[in-house]
Amino acid sequence: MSEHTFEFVSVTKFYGRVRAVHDLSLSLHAGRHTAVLGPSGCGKSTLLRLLTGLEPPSSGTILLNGRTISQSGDVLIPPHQRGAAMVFQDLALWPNLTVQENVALGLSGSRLSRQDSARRINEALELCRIAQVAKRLPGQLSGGQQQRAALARALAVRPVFLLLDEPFSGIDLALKAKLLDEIRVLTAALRVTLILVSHDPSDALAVCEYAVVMDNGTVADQGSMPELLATSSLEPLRTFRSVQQIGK
Amino acid sequence: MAAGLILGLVTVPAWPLVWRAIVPGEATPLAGSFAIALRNSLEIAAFVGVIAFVIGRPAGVALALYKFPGRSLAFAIVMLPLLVPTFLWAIGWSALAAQAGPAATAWITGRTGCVLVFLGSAIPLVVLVSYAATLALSGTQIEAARLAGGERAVVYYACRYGATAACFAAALAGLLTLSDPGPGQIFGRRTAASDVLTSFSSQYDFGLAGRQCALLALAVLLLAIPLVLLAATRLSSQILVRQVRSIVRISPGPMAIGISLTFAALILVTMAVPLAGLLLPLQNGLDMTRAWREVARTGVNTLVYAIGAGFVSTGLSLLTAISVGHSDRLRTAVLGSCLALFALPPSMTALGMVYAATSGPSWLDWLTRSRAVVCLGLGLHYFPLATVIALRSWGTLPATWTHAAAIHGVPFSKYFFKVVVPHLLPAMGVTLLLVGLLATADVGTVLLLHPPGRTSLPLAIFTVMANAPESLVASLCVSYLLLALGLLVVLWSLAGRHTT
Amino acid sequence: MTANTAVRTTLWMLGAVLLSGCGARDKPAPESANNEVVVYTSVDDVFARPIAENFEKDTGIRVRLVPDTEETKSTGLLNRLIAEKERPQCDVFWSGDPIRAAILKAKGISTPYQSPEAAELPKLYSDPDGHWTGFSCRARVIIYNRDLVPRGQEPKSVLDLLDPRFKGKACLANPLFGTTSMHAAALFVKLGGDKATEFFDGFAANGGKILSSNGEVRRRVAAGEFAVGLTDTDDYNVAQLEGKPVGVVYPDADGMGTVVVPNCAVLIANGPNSDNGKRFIDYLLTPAVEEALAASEAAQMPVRKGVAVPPHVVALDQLKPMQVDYSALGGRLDELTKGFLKEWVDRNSR
Repeated sequence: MSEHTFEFVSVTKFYGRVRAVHDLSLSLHAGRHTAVLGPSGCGKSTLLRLLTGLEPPSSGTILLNGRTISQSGDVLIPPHQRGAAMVFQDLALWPNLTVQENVALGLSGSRLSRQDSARRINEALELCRIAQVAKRLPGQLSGGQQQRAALARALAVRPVFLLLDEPFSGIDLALKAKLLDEIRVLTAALRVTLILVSHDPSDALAVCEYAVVMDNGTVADQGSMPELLATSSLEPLRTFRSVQQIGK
Repeated sequence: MAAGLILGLVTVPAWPLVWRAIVPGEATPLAGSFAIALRNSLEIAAFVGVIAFVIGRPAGVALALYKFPGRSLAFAIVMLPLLVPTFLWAIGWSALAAQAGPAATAWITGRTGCVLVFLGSAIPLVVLVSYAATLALSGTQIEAARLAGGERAVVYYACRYGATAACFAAALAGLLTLSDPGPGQIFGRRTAASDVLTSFSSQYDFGLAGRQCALLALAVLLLAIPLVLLAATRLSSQILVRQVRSIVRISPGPMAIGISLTFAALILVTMAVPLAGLLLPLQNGLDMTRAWREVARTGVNTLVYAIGAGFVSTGLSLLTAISVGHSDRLRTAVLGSCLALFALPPSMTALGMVYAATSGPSWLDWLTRSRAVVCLGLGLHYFPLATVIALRSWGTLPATWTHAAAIHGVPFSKYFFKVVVPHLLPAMGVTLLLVGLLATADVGTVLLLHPPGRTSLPLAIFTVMANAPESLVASLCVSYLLLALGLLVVLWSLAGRHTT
Repeated sequence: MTANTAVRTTLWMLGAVLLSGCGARDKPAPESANNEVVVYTSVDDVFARPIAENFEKDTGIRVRLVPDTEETKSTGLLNRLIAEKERPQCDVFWSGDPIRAAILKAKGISTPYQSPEAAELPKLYSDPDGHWTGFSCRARVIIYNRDLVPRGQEPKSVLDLLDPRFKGKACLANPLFGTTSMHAAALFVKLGGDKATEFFDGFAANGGKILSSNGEVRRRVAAGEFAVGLTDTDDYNVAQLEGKPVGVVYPDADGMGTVVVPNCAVLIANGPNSDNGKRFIDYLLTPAVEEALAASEAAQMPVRKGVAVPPHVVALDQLKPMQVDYSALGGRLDELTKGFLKEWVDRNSR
């Protein structure tokens, strides 16, 4: 598992005339929790969509363990065979299905036997501590429970990478801290590697050891989290540092 | 590609006649005076569209935002004219005008009469779309407007929001008038549809009729292009907003009575007046026995045709919406084609289908000459309307849901039936209802396609009304309207349970 | 969830209704499909249905009756017959006038049939080649409002509608359709092109109005909106039965004669149940049917001699029928609807 590596080689992505990602080259290794940081509109979410194969790149190549999985205009390996699961910014819980059904439908692409599938569902619900509300619809849950439901759906498929696309917008600080803590424990227990997309370095600091800073559709800086925090002059790290200093 | 295929298939039945129109034969050339008829038709369509928008838009908003006395009943009654063939309203208006005297008749003759009659079905269409668009607003958005500027701000904001959708509905309602010859004939206004009818029913010149239809569709297409280009992007930007918390209907205090009264006036003008004209003969007594016998003979067929048409339209429009996806360019193209399709007289499609069934093998008669064909013909006619609704509701499906399914490798059929269909169900229900209602009011398609002996109630009314005693016709109308109202109230309460 | 379930259940229920309805075309009658006859008719449903029901009672053959709508309001059954020509569903077309019968003949949709019952019927009202056989008839009459037209001042001829005293007070149905179109064609044949053109132009110049149907002529004359109008005897009779203040004139009794409009029975070529179709035509041509149609609200005049006529029906021998070649009217009308009449209607529509 540890050799699982996504590699972006000179990847560019256009939406119509808008260039979202430009000549991006980057490696993401399993076992190294990585944060993708940058201001809004810098191409962070596009990076995730390219990685998962939801979109083909306009040019360039994406490799998984050395094998081409996407190239200009083509998705060669479909999203569910890339070993990645994702928690979306809006969570994307299917609103007419209960939490349990959400997790079950999420597993339906994994070709498990009925018993295995049931076991996985229960396991995921237990791990994420939402077994008690498994029969409820997403609309009947609190914000935190909804986050856990989305997390359970993603973890049930036992991914190598867990992609989090700004999942903590709109929840309070205490809850966010608790969730981040739980995610750290869970990922360690399940040996899942996190890719966290965020505009807030404090989220990243809590769970990631490595960070990629994006600006204007390309990688502007990357390195270990403490190192970047100390040296990078890019947004949002610069603001983060100055806020910390005011705090002191 | 797939969307183009569906649009192509939808027009297939009209091809035999269009073919006759294109192939040069001894058919009469298109008279230059057809331009006058075309102009008259477009003029009526424009008036109907604009007035329906001006009245229907605030009415739909009020129904969505406010509680007021008689709200549910008002909704059901406002929808009722959709169920009634336009010629019935036309006869009602002209009968009443005849009672009122020459001044009234002179006023109602020509364009005014046509516009009044067509408004009967145009307003409900705009009201319904407007209502649905307003419901897509979130409760918090409404509350924000209320805090910012009181009820005036709420109404202003709600009227602006989704105005494009309502505008589009109004345009469709206007276009729907283009293919209906009845009111033009009754009020003595020369229209393109009555010219087409003359080509069919007086000159038996299918080629000429085909060319006239083609010209009509072309004119509509040319006029529709700017509208569609304008609407397509706005439609998508309006509909991609997600509703977080639904609207809580409030009672606007003293304004409530005002709204009730306005609705009463609206109902009076679009319905009660022509209805009074139709029911005048009831003073000579009611002939309910005969009327109910007709209802018993035709009720099931009427229901089958309405529901069948609803299913055909809804299914096809859903397929179209899926193949259009989130592509703005495709959406624009499809909307444009829908507008042009709507101008196509249903008799073209229906006669084409008769030709197809006739030249097809007899072992297929169980299908090609069955009630299913009536459903298909009616469904195809109202396909454009269904498509507009489907495109809209498809647009409200967040892309991330599909992305989540893709990342998890959820099989498409599972995702479609477990997530997509339930999400679209309310919109599909509305489409089914709307097409069902409009299809019920149709007479021309049913006449040309129904298997002998399987007539519908409105067609039966139509065929007895020419010379039957007026009291029988009035009794039939009463029983039809009562049935229709009953059906509407049932459906309405079902929908009400759903939306709350 | 419950709301979703409710909607879903409804949809399924509706679907079930649909499937049960659409599946089989018609439940085949146990006796076989041949025990029925399909009749398209332009005669009003109220008059045609009782006759069809009597035929069913007498013969046990099931009649599938398809009545037409008013031509001016939707594309009608004749178009359906034309489209179905290669493999018709219909066996008999019961036409309310000889014009539609003539069109079917011209388009090769009908086939000759000499019914044994036709022997006693006058040849004048039937196609010489046997494509259609005429029976009970209506007449084209002037209906007037008794409150607006003083006794003794009733019009005597259709040409009187051009009289200045009826300025803006006369109406007729759209002459592109129905019996009015036949009336127009008859006028062109009888008066000649120039005089007939003069009549129509004079009618418009005198403020005459085109209405959508004969029924509307009846209604609006009865309501007093118009003083006089051209319509059919059955329309007049309905107004009379409803107690409206109307009177009737059988025009041109001392001139060119009143236009008489016979019903016509037409056998469709290659119909699915031709033998039953012939039996239905035989039945239509019996004295009993002429009697029934005379007694009905349609007040149709029997063409056969010796059929009893109720008091409210004028017998054919009491009036002077216009002598025209009915089989030639169709061709003339074809020219007119593509030429003068179309142009005249266009010119005089608002």
